Amino acid sequence: MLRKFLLQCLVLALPIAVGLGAYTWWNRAYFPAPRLTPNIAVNEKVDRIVRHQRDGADVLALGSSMSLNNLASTPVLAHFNGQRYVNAGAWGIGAGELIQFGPMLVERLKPHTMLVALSPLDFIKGSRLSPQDSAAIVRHLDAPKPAVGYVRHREAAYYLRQMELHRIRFDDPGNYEYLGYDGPGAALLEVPADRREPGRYAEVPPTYDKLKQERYEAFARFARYLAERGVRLVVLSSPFREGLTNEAVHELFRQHHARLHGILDPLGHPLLTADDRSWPDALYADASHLNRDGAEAFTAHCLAQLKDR
Amino acid sequence: MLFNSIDFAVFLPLVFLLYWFVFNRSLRLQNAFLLVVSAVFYGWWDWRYLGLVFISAAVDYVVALKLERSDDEKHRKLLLTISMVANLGMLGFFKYCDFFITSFNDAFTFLGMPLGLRTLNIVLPVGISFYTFQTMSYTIDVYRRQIKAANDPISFSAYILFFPQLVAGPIERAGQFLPQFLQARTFDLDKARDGLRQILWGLFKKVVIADNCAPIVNAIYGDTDGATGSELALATVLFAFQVYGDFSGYSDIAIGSAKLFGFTLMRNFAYPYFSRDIAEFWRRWHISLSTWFRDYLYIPLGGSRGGKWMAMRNSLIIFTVSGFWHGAAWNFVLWGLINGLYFIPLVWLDKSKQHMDIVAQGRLLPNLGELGKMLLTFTLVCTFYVVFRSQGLGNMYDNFSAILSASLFTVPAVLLSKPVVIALGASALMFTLEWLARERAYGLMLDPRLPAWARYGVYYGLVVLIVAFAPMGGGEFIYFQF
Repeated sequence: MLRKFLLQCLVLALPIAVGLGAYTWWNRAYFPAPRLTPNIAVNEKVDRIVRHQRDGADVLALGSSMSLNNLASTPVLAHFNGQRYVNAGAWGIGAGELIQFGPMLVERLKPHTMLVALSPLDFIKGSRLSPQDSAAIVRHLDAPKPAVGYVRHREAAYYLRQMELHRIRFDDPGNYEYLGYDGPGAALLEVPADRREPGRYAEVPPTYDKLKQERYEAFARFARYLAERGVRLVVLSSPFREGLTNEAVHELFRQHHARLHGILDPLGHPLLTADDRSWPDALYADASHLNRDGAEAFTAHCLAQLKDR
Repeated sequence: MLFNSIDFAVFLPLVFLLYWFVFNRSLRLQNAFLLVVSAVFYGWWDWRYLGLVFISAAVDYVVALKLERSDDEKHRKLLLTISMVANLGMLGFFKYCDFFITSFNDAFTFLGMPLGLRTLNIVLPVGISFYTFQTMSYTIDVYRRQIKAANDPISFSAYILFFPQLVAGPIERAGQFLPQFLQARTFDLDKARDGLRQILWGLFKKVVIADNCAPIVNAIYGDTDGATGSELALATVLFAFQVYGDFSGYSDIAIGSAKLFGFTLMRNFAYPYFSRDIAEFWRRWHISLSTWFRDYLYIPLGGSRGGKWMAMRNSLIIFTVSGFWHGAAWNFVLWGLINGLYFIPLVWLDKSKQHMDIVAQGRLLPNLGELGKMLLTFTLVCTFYVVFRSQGLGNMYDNFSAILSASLFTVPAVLLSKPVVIALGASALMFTLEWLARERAYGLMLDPRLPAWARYGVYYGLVVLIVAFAPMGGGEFIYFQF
């Protein structure tokens, strides 16, 4: 009786197992990273580093979508000719989160230069990593096999649903959540004019008083942390599109840059700015995220200010 | 450990195989194994609270043995009091302590004498309301000499900790359930198949219905300021589906899992939304709790023996206490009170037992009268849910004001959104299957006259729906917080 029951269970489960297996195999290129944190982009980036970039990096990029989307790899590779480069930028890692996320990677990848593209918006919001998130990231970075992450984070529905969403995220650069990384890990947007989200495109830049003191303080801690370890921090200040730029925005950047210089200059970290020229609307996917052409122009423009390598 | 997790999907087959193939040599060994795996199941959430379950079980085990040996009525009452104080004390501390501190603070602040007492921020141990009631019923039954005290601590502990029903019921009675631990269990193929089917049905109700309704309900009830009457009404109806899918789904998985191990748990839901009045609704909803209150509170209070007035008073008391059992907040107390007020007219008119049969029995469809009564009862039940789901009394008033305004007659902006269509479509499927199965124990107990291909088509169809519509981060079961 018991054996008959088990056999029936196996037979009945077989089509389900085969169906799920075939679906997963069909979508294997879109299978999500282990659910280490609620931040999908961080999960994907950490898993990518564990799988492909564990050997270390000479130059490491970190930060929010400004680093992920606005920091093009080609100009960086051209500037740091022949050096190992990893872009670990992910949504939500704003100025306040760098000190949480950065040390985990710096200790393991041992870069000599850290690139961070920042917008004033990074001093307003970010996705704070909880202690549990940080612990999960560290465990995954140190795991003997990347697959261990799936054993630790067993959420079947999450993997199924994300697999469907990743098909769009990985293949469509016209989507704001694009995660189709190039070799080092940048994901350059190509949002055509007719697919721009009007709300995002017209988002008015903030005034200086909206930028948060505690996020500057957290950023200063990160800059000091890197200086203590002999890692040079190179900050690239990302501009807003021309159509939104007015005297108030110029004033925002003047005050913001003065504040950043106050943090970076004593530590010898350079700040590379882009407000010496205008950035046409056509280069943008929204108010602050650049499309591919814009990202390449912005990165090259900033790095040209960096004399040494 | 959650029933809707990968962990349980591994745990259940593993325990099943070990139970029937390795630990089947003796009953004592099987019970000991069940006790250990139940502790693992509970400890998976937080092992530190396992001690509370064992304390509750140990107190009642010892008290019951002493009760049985004693003929001195005073001594027996003292023993019963010890059990009640231990169980209700534990429940009171972990569930109600912060509530009473906050209420005292509020009351004294209102009187102009702020106390400034600090809450203790106590974490509510999962399932404490369920297992304390189960152990108390055992001791009371021994006290009443309705059952014999258990003299095997392992079987008794396995009965208290039995993992399928430990954290959210059904609240089993010792008289029906404990003997099952004391007699040899043999594998029953039909019972096991039935168990698997019931697990599938429960999983569908939890994952597809409850977890898809939850985000919509949370979004609307989480920000009621801008919500129209029709949106709140829609959220309330979806909450009705959510709470039913969630809790009855849990019960189905619990009952189905128990069947795999040769146990029979009591039925906890009997299609409550097909009820024709509130009295019938409460005979069909959370049956193990309703009957618990009936047997251990309503009848000891005098039941209906003292006439209508006493029956009405006692009904009001048990509904209010039931509300308080559900949550340490005033809106739960009010919810229970309103239920009692709906119930009282039926007692007064001697109509509380007019619908003891199954609606439209022997017919495919109900007549207009039955349909009207069911819709009216469901509407009344939904008014409970506004009270139940609101964030405090002020928010409840605002929500009722919005629902009773002209905006009730607007089309909700979210009506045709994908999540709402999925939630309503899946709920329609659930209620259709339950309607067709209303003369049987649960919704997936299909008509045996159906050909096998049709039955298996339904089973696989449900699996496809679970895979296709299981939302990310499927939540915990609502009744865990009670």
